[in-house]
Amino acid sequence: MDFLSTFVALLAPAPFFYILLGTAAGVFVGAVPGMTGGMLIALTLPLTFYMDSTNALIMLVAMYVGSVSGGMISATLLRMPGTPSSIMTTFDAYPMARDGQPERALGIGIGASFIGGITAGVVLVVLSPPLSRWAMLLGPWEYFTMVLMALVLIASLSHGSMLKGLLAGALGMLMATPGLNPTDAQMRLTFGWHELDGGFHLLPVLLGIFVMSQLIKEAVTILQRPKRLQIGKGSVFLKPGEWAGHWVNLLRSSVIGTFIGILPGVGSSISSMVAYAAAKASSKTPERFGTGSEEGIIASEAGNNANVGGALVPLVTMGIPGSPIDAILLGALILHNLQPGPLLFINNPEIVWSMINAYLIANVLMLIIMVATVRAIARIMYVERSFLLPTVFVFCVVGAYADSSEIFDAWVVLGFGLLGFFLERAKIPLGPFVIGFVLTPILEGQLRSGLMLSDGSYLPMVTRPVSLLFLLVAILMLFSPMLGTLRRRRAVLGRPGKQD
Amino acid sequence: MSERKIGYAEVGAGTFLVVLSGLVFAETRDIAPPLYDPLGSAAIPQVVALVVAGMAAAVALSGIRRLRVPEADASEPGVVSEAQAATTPEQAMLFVALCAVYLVVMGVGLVPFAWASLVFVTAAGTVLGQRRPAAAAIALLLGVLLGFGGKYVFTHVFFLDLPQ
Repeated sequence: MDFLSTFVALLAPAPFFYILLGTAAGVFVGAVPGMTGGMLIALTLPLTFYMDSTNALIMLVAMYVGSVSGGMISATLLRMPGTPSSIMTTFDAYPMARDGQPERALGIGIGASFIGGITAGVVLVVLSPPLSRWAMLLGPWEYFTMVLMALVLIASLSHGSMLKGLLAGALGMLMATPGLNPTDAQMRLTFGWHELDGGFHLLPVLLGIFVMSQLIKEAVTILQRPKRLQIGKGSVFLKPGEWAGHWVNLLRSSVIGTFIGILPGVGSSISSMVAYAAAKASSKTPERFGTGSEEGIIASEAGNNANVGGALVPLVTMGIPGSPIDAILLGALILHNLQPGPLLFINNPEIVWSMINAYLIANVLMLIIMVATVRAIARIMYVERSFLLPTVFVFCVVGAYADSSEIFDAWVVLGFGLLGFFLERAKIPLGPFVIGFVLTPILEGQLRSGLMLSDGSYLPMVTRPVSLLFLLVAILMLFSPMLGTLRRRRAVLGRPGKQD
Repeated sequence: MSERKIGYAEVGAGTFLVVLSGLVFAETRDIAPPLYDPLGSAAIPQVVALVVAGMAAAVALSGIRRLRVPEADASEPGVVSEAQAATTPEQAMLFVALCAVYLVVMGVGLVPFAWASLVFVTAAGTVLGQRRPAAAAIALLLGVLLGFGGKYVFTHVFFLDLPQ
């Protein structure tokens, strides 16, 4: 199975229907404030247990594409990002909409999302096969240091302080340790509860962190009602000529989004921030950013959509999630008895090519769906939260129970939801927590395998070049904020670094 | 969120995590020594627990420092801002309590999924909808749909197990 044959196969009615359904659901849910793509994918995952694996995965990938784009609608009209990746979009899309151009703001965002997504898709198609072959050459030390690098990366790039990001990652790692250890079949950290013999299951933890914590947050602010702007009769579809002067920004933001997505663990909100900052730095009118700049909308939306495709690269080639939401897709692969990692391309090429092609087709469908239905979505996207919250919780319980037929897993959802809510109150980010939780089995397994191969020596970590490279990047990311602080303090105190 | 609230949250979260990692570390002493590999099953949880404890203590200390700084608050004492008035922590606590009761009644086998979901959605929808009669009516309808309709869809369409 290769790229073209899988592409043609996905155009058949059944798989095409799943991609269309996933994209449409993603766009709608992404537009609803309080609902995120992560929530939608986590809630849908248990419903796919008895589906064909290919159809399940292509639908989930399509949901991911749709939800990242859908978040722009509420960002533009309500000044509330539907998804975290649309935060930067609110800075310029809302002012532009408020100043009487909501259709143009939406049109620019939709077009930029499409270009960003397709650019990343091209990179995904070109880079995945050789990267997967290269990944087969990696040994346990390379995987260990790569996972370590991913944890440090996401901690250092997440919102707020790096200490809190690292704490979240380490806490996620701690939560992944109870249960039966696969390396030596030792039972550990069950505290005498037989329900913990298998550890905390991935799906209930994801439902708790992604969904339940958000539900509690929404319950706290349930009386807040945003003011909604109306869309006029103008077209949201921008002709190719209207993009004149924006192509450099489009391409730059798409490339930034793609390559930040390839970095393990880093999500689309970071991509949109970096793309936005780069666009502002190179703009001839940087003062317009934050007041309705078209360049700002383009940078944010192209960056966040490109991140989705970029993040699929490490997932399909190495089994390392490229973003917290990819951690759910990793869970989907495992739940459908597919082994993530470089061998996925060898053993199940049809699955990998289907995911990649579904991503490309979903981007095209996203453009069509958004242009055709944005007015309808704008009218109905504000769903009364007093009904939404209990409904979503019922879905969480069903999903968690379906995994293991134990009510304990539903309690795990509630428990991790409360944990996630209070961590966010303390400004401790949840993305690193999820990455830490998902990657710990790989980290520990690879470290112990490496030590067994080297007779207990840690030296291969620094003598193997690729392992050393990952380790150096991790150390650099860990200490660069401290170096930055030191340099700023020296500047404030007026101590020159060099004598003239 | 005000600096004081963040400070309290940092102290609370930090303290909780220090205690949690202490419990985990204590539990690792029951893990048998390594048989096949040099590291064993206790090493990673022990190291991670220590790292979490250290970082959590630092976050808690940062919270204490934050609480010591007098808040530069422009609002008059006793005057509640619009944003503050729109937050309802007691509603959220009630919602969480209802969720817990929902799980308890299904977990002990007292009430099957359909009826438990009907009552839960109706109660939670009414409470979160400020106890307005219209909200209660819609919540009841939604409860029937989710409880009985949901039971059919989940079991006959998606073939999922439900708490009975």
